[in-house]
Order: sequence, then structure tokens, then C-alpha cells
Amino acid sequence: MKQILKLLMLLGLILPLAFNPASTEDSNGNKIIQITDDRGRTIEVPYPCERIVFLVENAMNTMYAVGGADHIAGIGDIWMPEQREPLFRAIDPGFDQKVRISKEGGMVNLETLAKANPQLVVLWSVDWDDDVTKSIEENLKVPTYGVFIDSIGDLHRQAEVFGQIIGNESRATEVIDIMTAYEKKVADVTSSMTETDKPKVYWMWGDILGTAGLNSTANELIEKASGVNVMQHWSNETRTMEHPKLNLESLVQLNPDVIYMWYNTNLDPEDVISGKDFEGWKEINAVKNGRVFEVQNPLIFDFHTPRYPLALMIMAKEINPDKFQDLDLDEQIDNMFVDLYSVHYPGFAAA
Amino acid sequence: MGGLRLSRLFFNRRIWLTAFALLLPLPAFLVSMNIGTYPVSGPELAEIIFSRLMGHDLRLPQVYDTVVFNIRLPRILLAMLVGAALSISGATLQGIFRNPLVSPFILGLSSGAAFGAALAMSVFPWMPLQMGAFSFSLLAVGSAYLMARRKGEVPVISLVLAGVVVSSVFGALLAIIQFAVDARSLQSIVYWNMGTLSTASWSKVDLAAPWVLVGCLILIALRWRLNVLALGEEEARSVGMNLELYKFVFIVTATLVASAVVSVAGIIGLVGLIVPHMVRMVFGPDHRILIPLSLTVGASFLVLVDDVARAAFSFEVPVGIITTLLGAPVFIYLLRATRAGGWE
Amino acid sequence: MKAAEGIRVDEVSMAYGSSKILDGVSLSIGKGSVITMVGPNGCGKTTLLKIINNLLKPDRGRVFVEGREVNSMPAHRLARIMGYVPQGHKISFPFKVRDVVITGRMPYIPAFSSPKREDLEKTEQALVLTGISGLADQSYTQISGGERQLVMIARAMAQQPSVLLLDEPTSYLDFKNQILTLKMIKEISRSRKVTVIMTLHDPNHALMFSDEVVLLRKLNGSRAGNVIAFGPPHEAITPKNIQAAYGVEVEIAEVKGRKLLLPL
Ligand SMILES: Nc1ncnc2c1ncn2[C@@H]1O[C@H](COP(=O)(O)OP(=O)(O)O)[C@@H](O)[C@H]1O
Ligand SMILES: [Mg+2]
Repeated sequence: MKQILKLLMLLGLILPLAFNPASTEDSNGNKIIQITDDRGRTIEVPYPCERIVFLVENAMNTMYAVGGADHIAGIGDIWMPEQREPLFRAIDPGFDQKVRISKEGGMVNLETLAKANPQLVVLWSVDWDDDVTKSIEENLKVPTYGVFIDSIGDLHRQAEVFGQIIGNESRATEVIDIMTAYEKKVADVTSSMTETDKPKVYWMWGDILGTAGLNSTANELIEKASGVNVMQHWSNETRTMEHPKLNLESLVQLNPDVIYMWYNTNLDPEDVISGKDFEGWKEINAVKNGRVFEVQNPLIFDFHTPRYPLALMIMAKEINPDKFQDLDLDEQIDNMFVDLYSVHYPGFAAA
Repeated sequence: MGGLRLSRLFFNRRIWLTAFALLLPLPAFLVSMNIGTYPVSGPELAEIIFSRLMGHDLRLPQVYDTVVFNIRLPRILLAMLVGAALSISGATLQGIFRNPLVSPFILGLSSGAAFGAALAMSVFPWMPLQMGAFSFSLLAVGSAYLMARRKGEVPVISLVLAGVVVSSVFGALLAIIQFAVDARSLQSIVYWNMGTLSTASWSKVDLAAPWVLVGCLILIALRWRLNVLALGEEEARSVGMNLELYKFVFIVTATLVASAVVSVAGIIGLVGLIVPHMVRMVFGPDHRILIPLSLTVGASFLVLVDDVARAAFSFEVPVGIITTLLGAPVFIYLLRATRAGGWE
Repeated sequence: MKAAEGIRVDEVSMAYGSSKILDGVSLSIGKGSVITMVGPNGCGKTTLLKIINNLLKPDRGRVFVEGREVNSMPAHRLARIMGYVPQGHKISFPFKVRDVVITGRMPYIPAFSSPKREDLEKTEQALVLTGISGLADQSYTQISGGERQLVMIARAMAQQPSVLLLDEPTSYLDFKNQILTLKMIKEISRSRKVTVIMTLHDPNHALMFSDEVVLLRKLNGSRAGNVIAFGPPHEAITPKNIQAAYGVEVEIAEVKGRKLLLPL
């Protein structure tokens, strides 16, 4: 089902490209452009699109990367703002003037949204007709672009689409090349690795026994970092879900070599290795060998933004340390920030 | 003569049945030790246990010892503690409220705990989750009790109504938190509310066990007093019972016992309602029998249900979902059988 | 104080909110006698009974049992002296009759304890005394209203009281059971030397079964007091007093030497 959907989406993307220039005109002579979102739905937006609201923060990173700072009219809630907002301010002098749209109990405040007078609203959505989508489209008569990232390919396509709607395809191509180039720095090393070299990795979400299923971005990250998701060895059919849950006895049986924890304020690798709530974990290889890692900085380790190659590098170096001895992470991070946003990291000074 | 023999037979059958219910935790424990997704055979299990008891070296890989003693055993013990605590607490409160449809959560315990847990999860990360849940469940029941108290008396009906009010207030407070937090915290709040034993550990057993043990001892020691109370408040006072004192002691003890397990396992629904009820249906309402048997049957019931939750699918089904799905039909049946829920 | 005095009610007044129910009621009741209280609905019979048993605190006045004030005694002490049978009793759980009766042993059983052999014996004696040994293993919820009344009397007798208070013990009973129950109560009083105070709604029963009658009226704001008459049945229950209490015209007939109240 998912495959078919992807195929259709690909078709929807390729067909207009093959037969059409990027934009057409509507009956009033205004230029419009057709795009397809991650939900596979085709929408029409004015071309070039001048006022876009981002209710999902990770997609906004892509818009900034493709040079669309002035096209951003409004911004929704930002996770860990103390960490992220300085970056946006450094890239975009107009950041603090943008309309901020808060959420109230999962619902967007429509009146503030209207203040931004958007031509397109970008939001995180799996479903064509979830409540937020419906209320925005019906009440404000504004098209919505649903973002749902479950593969790295989705991020490349996102850069391409965002380049199209603001009329900056050339920068979009550059961004895609940047992502590919950084990813290749990992692939060049891992391509020589055999299956037996690859460690078995257990991805640990905040719910501890919830993990990255075989259809998830984190799974792709593990594979590209030259690890094997332990879910590959699990016999249960829920392993193909995005976020399956297992029980501790099953995990002990799967016996991962590495445990990779998502950023977790309540739990540190030391807790997993020697905490009193984790006595049942002590015979797992990863715990015995002290190979439990946690995402330290979710701004850098952010695999739903164009910065995902950094997450890949960090993970690759942690799970295969001997293979990546020569990779200088600080340098790579700084370079990538310069390439994507023309600012240095850390500090966000202009490059 | 025949009648006598018949009644003696009945008597024996009853004794036999009581002994069975009393000893049920033992076979339930043994069965559960043999169940799990990590393959440990019966002889292996015997060897693992034997080597621990005798203190000699295990010939199997160390991981077997860990699976049995650090994963399975704490989870089984926690399931038994939770089942026992919720059931004995439910039986006690049903007696005090003279209503068979009362559960340990009637006075706002669960909504207070859910709020406290959510608070600890999202707003005050420095607060241990168990502490948040425990203190707020006590706070909820305490405020219901104080709200219902007038001139030193706490009428049962006022208590129930106060419980309803307190539940809704904490429900609303919880909703505020749920509105404010991000999706991932929301998910863990929802997950906690369903009740789960999948994160069982020795430290959780250690945290809950003292409360449960002491509480159960108190309730068992005082259990005959529940018979006196269950006949009615005026009736209890007229035979010289210090009514408000005993009501207080029973409510505090039942609440402490239930709060202790809710704080480590979340809200596991309907156990505290249906187990005492099933026991009462078979053994009658005499609390001298009902209280200890609620404890043993409750422990066995939850550990067996949790066997299903942890081993039937190899992925985790929150045990609270199973107990609720099992309990709901029983509850509806009871509701119909007792007419109007037994309130008078 | 008379030597044989069992209970003394001294100037008891009681109001619910602003409505005064009892005003300065005083009674002196001899040991071992059967006292009945009659009066119209709502005149305060139940209230007075509960005050005597310290279930209610009067606004004013005191109650003494065997020379000691009831509200100065620990509850279990009082419960060893006084048993109380409430009017019409329902319970939610199907307790066995024996388990209900044994709760009368409450004042003798220490906190962390359950009934012992002695309590079981006293329970059996109470069952025999009230003639319901045969019901002992039946469920309280499945016996008749009359039988339930007997169970509650047995429960009170298991307290081994010297005073037995009963609130309308005949109200849910048929003609035959009314008579049997009242006879039994009188018999218990005689054989066990128990002072009985009961409320009744039929003055004829009061005429037949009591040593002394308290005839009460509703206050209705008047200052005349509740007690119209307190004395031997034929002195308390006269057409004039009945008129004052109930506002009903009656005459007294005599049949085979026994007095009978007939409405006109
Ligand atoms: N708890 C109470 N609160 C308010 N009024 C009451 C209460 N109990 C009884 N009453 C009122 O007091 C009056 C006397 O009641 P009661 O003693 O039960 O009378 P009796 O038993 O003679 O019928 C009645 O008018 C009754 O409505
Ligand atoms: Mg009355």
C-alpha cells in the first residue's frame, strides 16, 4: 500500500515536470504552481509563493536552506526554542517580526494564523483530512502542505518542492547536492564493510521499549551508518511499523551490540548501564560493553531536516568508532552549517 | 441424617475451595515463571533457581540468570503486588461504602495519580514520577475526604460526590497539561494512564512492597470490623464502633495500598472492582474470608493476565487494556444484576 | 434517684435546624420494665430513642443509664449496656444471619481481633432466644421482613444489654408477627431482666404490652412540652390524652377485662 502510494507520488512529481514548465496561469492571469505533498495530495499555490506559514519546524529548516527566509510569513511552536531560535535569528534578520502561531490543545489558533495572511500552510500531517488540515482549508481557504518524513528521500524531495514554489530551483539543487555530498563521506567508508562487521543497533525512543521499526527514518539512519537495526532479527510482524514496542525478554534475546537513545531528559546511558531500574538489561551486549549512546544535541542530530547527514556522521562514528577515526565531527558540523545557512557552528557567526 | 451428611459435604467442599483460592498464588507464580518470550525450558529454569538457592555456579550463560531473576521475577512479583493491592483495597472500600460497584479509584485516586505523574513527566522533570503519582493520589483522596467532612462526620454519599468532583477537577488539570505538552510527552502520559507492568524492576517492587505489605496486614487484622461497618453506619455505632475512626483508618489504608501500586504501575483498570466481586460471588460477603481471598485471588488474577500481556504477542500490550476489556463485560453484568448499581 | 432506676432522661431538647422537635423531655424509667412510646408520626419518638442511645447529641439535657451519663461513656461501654434495634433495616450484601447477629459482639472484641468461641456461643444463645436458630445459615437479604426484625433483635441481645431500645419493631410485620414479636420482647424483658423502651404506632399494642406508656405529641411551636402522659397504660391512654396527641376521638371499651381503644 505504502509502496503504491510512493509510486503514485513519484508519478505525480515526474509527470508535471515532463509535460509542464513549473508554473501555469489561472483564469485571472495569476501565476500558479502545482505541487504534491508528502500525503500524495496535489495542491495549487500562487507562484512564486510569497507568504508561507510553517506549523512544523523541521520543514522550515529546509525552507531556510533553499533561501526562502523572506517567504516565511508565520511560525508555529518550536521545540527547544532556546536552542533553535538563535540559529533562525542568525540566518534571518526578520525572524522576530514573523507572526507566531501557538497551538491550543492540538488545534491551531486560526485567528493568529489569519493574521499571517498565508498563501500556503505547511504542517506535520499523516492524514489528508485531519482536523487541523480541514479547519485551515475550510475556514481560511488556504491550501495546506502535509509533511510526513519517513525516509531520507522525503527530505531531498522536500528541498526540491520548496525550491520550486519560491522560484529558486537552482539553490534547491545545490542543497540536495550538499546533502548528498555529506552523506557520501559516510558511505565511502561504510561501503567496504561486510555484513558481519556491522553492529546490531537498538534504537530507544523515550518510551524505552519503543523503537524504530523497519519503515522509519531512524531505521534508514542506522543502515546508512552501517549498523543493523535489531528489528531485522525480530520475528514479530509489528517490526515493520514506524514505532513498534517490544518487551524486555525479547530485547534481551535480540541482544543488540549498541543501544542508541533518542534525546531523553529523564534517562542517561549510565542509567541503562548501571541504573537500578535496568538490572534486567545487564546481560545485553551493548550494556556489558558500555556501548549505550544518547543523542546529545537534537539541534545537530536532527534527521528530519537537511542537517540529517550530521546525525548520520555522529551515529556512524559512535557505532563504528574504528572506521571513522579520521572524521572530525566539529569540522563537519561547522562546514555543513556554512554550506546550508552561511553561518558557523557553534555561535552562528556569519560566514 | 441425610441432611446432616449433605451439609457436611458442602462444608468440606467449601473448605476445599477456600484452600484453593488461598493457595492460588503459588501455582500462578510457578506457571508465570515458566512463561516468557525468552526461551527458558523447565529444566533450565529449575537449574537457574537451584543454582541461586544453593549458591553454586550456573552452567548456563549468565543471561539466563538475568532473564529469570532480573526480568521475569520482578515483573511477576510486581504484578502480584499490584493485583493484591488493588483487590484488597477495592474489597475494603466496597465494604465501607456498602456498595459492590465501588473501586479503589472512587475517591479520585486514579485521576490524582494521573495528574501527578503527568506533572512529573512534563512540568517538573526533577520530580520522580512515582513520587508525583503517589503524592497527588493521596492529595486527591485527602481532599475528597475533607470536602465530605462536616462536624466530624463523613457521610458516605458526600464522600462519593466529593470523589466525583475531585476526579473531574484533576481530570481537567490533566487535560491542561496534555494541551500544553509536546506530542511525545503526551504519548507517555497516555501510555502511563493505561497502566503497564512492562517497566517492572526490583526497585519498583521495593518501592511498592512495604506499603502493600503493611496495608494488607492492617486490613487483614481489622477485617471483621468491615462486617460491622457494612451493615450500616448507625448500626455500627449502636454496637459501640467508633465509626469515624474506623472509616478513616480503612480509607487511609486502602488508599495508601492502592496509591503505592498505582504510582509504580499506572492505572490498571477494573481489577479492584471485579476481583472482590468474583470472590464475594463464590465465598459470600463475610470480610473475614473476603479480604484475605481478595488478596490472593487478586494477585493470581493479575499475574495470569499479565502473562498474556507479556508473552502472548512478544510485543507489549499494556496490561491495563486487557484488564479493562476483560472487566467491562463483568462490570456491566454486575450493574444489571445488582439493579441501579446498589445505591439506595 | 430511685434505687431501681434504669434510665433517666433529664430535660432533653432537640431541634433540626430551626424546627424544634423535643422540648424539655424528662423521663425516669425503672429497671426491667417495658416502656412504650406512642405518638403521631414526626413527634420525635425516633429522635428520643437515638438520643437515649447516644446516636444523636441533644441540644440540651442529659441522659443517664444506671447512674452514668451516656455521652461520658466510651462507645463500647455503652454498647455493653444498651442494644438498639433500628426501624426497618436493609443491607446491600447477602450476609448470613449468623454473621449479622455476631456483629452484636462488637463491644466485647478488641480492635485487631475477630469473634472467638465465646462470641459464637453468645450468638447462638441470642439466635435461640429469638427463635431463629433455623435461619442462622440463611442469607439476610432472602428472609422476610419479620424475620429480619428478629435478626436485629438477636443482634442487640448478643450485646448482652440491660437495656433494649426498639424503634417501631412491628411496623413491617403482619398481624400475627406483630403479636408474636411483641410477646417475645416482653418475654425477653421478663426472663433477662432487660429494660425495654420501644416506640409503637398502635396505642392498642401499648395498652397490651407495656408496664408504662409515654404518650408524646408534636410540638408544632407550642411550649406545652412533648409529654402528654407518662404512666401505667390505662392511666396514660385515655380518650382525652389520645385526643390531645392525635386529634382523634376515641372511646375505651372493655372486653373480658381488657381495655381496647376504639375510634369513633
Ligand atoms: N436528620 C434530620 N434532619 C432534619 N429533620 C429531621 C431529621 N430526622 C428527623 N427529622 C424530623 O424530625 C421530626 C421527628 O422525627 P422522628 O424522631 O423520626 O419522629 P417519629 O419517629 O416520631 O416519627 C420529623 O418531623 C422529621 O421530619
Ligand atoms: Mg420514627
